[in-house]
Amino acid sequence: MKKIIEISNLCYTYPDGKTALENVDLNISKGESVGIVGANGAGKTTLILHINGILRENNGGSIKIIDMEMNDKNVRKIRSKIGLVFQNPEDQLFSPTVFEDVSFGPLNMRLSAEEVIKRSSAALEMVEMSGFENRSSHHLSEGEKKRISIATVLSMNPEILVLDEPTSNLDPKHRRELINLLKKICKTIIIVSHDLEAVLELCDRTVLMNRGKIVKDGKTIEIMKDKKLMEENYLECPLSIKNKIN
Amino acid sequence: MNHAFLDKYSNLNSLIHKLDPRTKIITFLLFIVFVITSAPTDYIQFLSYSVIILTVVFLSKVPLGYVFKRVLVIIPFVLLVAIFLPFANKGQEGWIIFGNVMIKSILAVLATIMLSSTTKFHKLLKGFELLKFPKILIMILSFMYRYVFILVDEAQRMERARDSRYFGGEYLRQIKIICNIIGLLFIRAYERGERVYQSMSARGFDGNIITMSKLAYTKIDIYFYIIFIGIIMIIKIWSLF
Repeated sequence: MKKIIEISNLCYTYPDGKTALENVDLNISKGESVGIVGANGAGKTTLILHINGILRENNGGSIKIIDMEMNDKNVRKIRSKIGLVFQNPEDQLFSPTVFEDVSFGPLNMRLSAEEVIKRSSAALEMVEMSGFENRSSHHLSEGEKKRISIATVLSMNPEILVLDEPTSNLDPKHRRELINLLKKICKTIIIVSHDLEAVLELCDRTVLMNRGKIVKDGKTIEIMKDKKLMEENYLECPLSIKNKIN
Repeated sequence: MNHAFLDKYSNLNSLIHKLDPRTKIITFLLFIVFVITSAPTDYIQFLSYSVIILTVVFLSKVPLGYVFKRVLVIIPFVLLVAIFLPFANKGQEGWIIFGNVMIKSILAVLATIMLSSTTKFHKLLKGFELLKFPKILIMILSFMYRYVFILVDEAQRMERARDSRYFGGEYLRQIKIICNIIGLLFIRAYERGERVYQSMSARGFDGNIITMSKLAYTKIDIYFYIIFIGIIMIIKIWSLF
């Protein structure tokens, strides 16, 4: 399979001197679904902010996305290929209406008006939120906000979808709906989450992080079965696996 | 949590609501200019303007009580400015100017209340944008409208957290706590700004604000332009003789 994300030796230090990433190596192929798990402050979010160049390595390392080196020249093009959905929908949805938020990305890609409208309504249809175009974001429910957030990047038709805590703050029904929705999206998907059950269901491969390093990279089921490994890294085996083992 | 929205009555269905935001902005602005430039003792002119704007209020179906409350909100500010006028000028003249300032400001405020309460905020911004107002200003207003409620929520949550652990007592300490909350609110707003900018950058924002224009004039707009501007023009010309 063709490599779509190539990260080698990535290091990042926060302005306050705290090391956030240390020698991270990660290769992801086209069509893979990868979960990134780890304790709070393990560097998961920092890592995904590097994937579309919002943060840049400041301590060595290199990133290549779809054969493009991460630099000032390529960063805009890379961003149009990667849909990054932030954890908090309030940060993701900043426009007065849903339509303006969903069309924000395509407009920045300098697409024609018809194309923008076409893509925006297609994206809203995909997350089953057609008809919400003229609603304002602060009147929506948490589940609706999450869906719209995903639509705001789907409208850009990205090759890679990166989601930060997609299932947080959702009630079980809306969480289930979101998981089913993500299953339908056939793209390279990276999911950062504490919701291990969701990762188990959605991702074949998992990257386990701790203190800015990748501890283990392998099959989701293999990693989550390993009780010792999980507990050493402040996690625990998902209940569904535990029940199977016992 | 509950907030009163600026455009609470913008969902009603009336002639004024149906107008294009640009129509309302231009005609009401013209109305305000006409009101302000009229002679201080020309009471007939003021009366005619009042009839016009009250007709608009009536047509808009916005509850009178709401409009009245809105007007009351600005009265203290006008009073603060105007209250010294009678003392600065001798005899009758001061009071005439005072009354004049009051009438003019109430009429002008009525027009702006009509503009803001019969138009959805995002449409109002769109209208200003199409009338070539600076995009950066419009963007600031749009962010303000989007995030002011979230900030209020955040403040209310912090207040609640304080109340649930605060058992009364030292007055001075309470002031200190309030100051902390205000400081924290500022930092949180700043950090949220950073995150919003990140999410904008992630979707290809490069400093150029690109938007789509979706407004269209209808027949009603043209009739309204002609009738409204026609009437205030007639009043103005009449008053010159």
